[in-house]
Amino acid sequence: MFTIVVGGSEVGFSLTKALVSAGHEILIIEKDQARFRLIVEEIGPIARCGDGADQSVLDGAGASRADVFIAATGSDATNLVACQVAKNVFKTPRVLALIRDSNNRSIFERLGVDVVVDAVHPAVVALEEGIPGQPMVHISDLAPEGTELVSVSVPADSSIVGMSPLEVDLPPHNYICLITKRNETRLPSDTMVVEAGDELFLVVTADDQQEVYDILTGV
Amino acid sequence: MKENGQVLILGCGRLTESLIPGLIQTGRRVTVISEDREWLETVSNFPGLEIILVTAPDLQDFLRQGDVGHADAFLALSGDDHLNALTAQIAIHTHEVPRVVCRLENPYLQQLYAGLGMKVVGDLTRMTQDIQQAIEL
Repeated sequence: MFTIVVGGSEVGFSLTKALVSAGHEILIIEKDQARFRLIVEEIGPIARCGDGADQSVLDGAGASRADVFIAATGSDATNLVACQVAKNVFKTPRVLALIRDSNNRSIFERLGVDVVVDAVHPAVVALEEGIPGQPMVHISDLAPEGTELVSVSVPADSSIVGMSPLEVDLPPHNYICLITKRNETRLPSDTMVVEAGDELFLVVTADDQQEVYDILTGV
Repeated sequence: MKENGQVLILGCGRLTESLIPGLIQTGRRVTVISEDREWLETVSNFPGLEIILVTAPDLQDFLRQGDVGHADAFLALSGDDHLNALTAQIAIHTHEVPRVVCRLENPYLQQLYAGLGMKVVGDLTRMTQDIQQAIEL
């Protein structure tokens, strides 16, 4: 399997190293001369210096026989254009892109990018979760107006500790969807017991958000 | 395009500067989004022109600030082909702006996006032809 990675910053470079050690055939394209030399020094001559969204550069890189194309530069705009060139000109079967602005996900998907990975938002969510006393972490707005996907950590003294997630009585249209316990994520079931420190993922409506939070964390 | 139509322009340079008077004189409401403070100051004297200085131009927030949802035309005229291609497609597909023009200098990209149905402008192709003609190639 031949993979082309565009952009040799942290994500692109780490990914390339991982794929090389997994035995993949891979080529990485980096625009910056100094960064390019550093990559070649570390992983050998499987890199090219140039604009990975430029058709002639991609042609020289053998894009027409690539099975997978990954655009991982720091610019959403460049990543989109690179993917569109790969998809439309070189007919690459699978194209993946990194985005920094979460708002860009839908346009990338609509324009044919097979997998869109958000480089920033998950880190923001994880950091937010690490702040003590952080009530509900907003993850995403959902299609129905005023509906959100949120997460809540269950405090040690919460009255729902010891209950099944299905027994927790929430207002209508608010649901516990997933529970992360240590390192596994599961669907709520009647045999499961909520423990302190569990991470609950919920769909909530804007009007009921405070009430839901009080139920989940109340003593 | 209707007479009191709203035109949103991304990018401010000589091209944008030369377009503004014609648009304003014919009654269009014009907003310019750019990260180039000096160029924005240069055009800021046009009466009725709205300008938006941005710090990170690939954020969709700035397009919303420019009210792209109600624009009758969106002109992606920055000097950055990739940014123009991204924002023009956001205007077309997300905000359904009826008239979208995308400036591209890379001839390969001109061909790709024109093939995808976009209205593409770029002076390189025209200049190449002019020069070839001038020296009778």
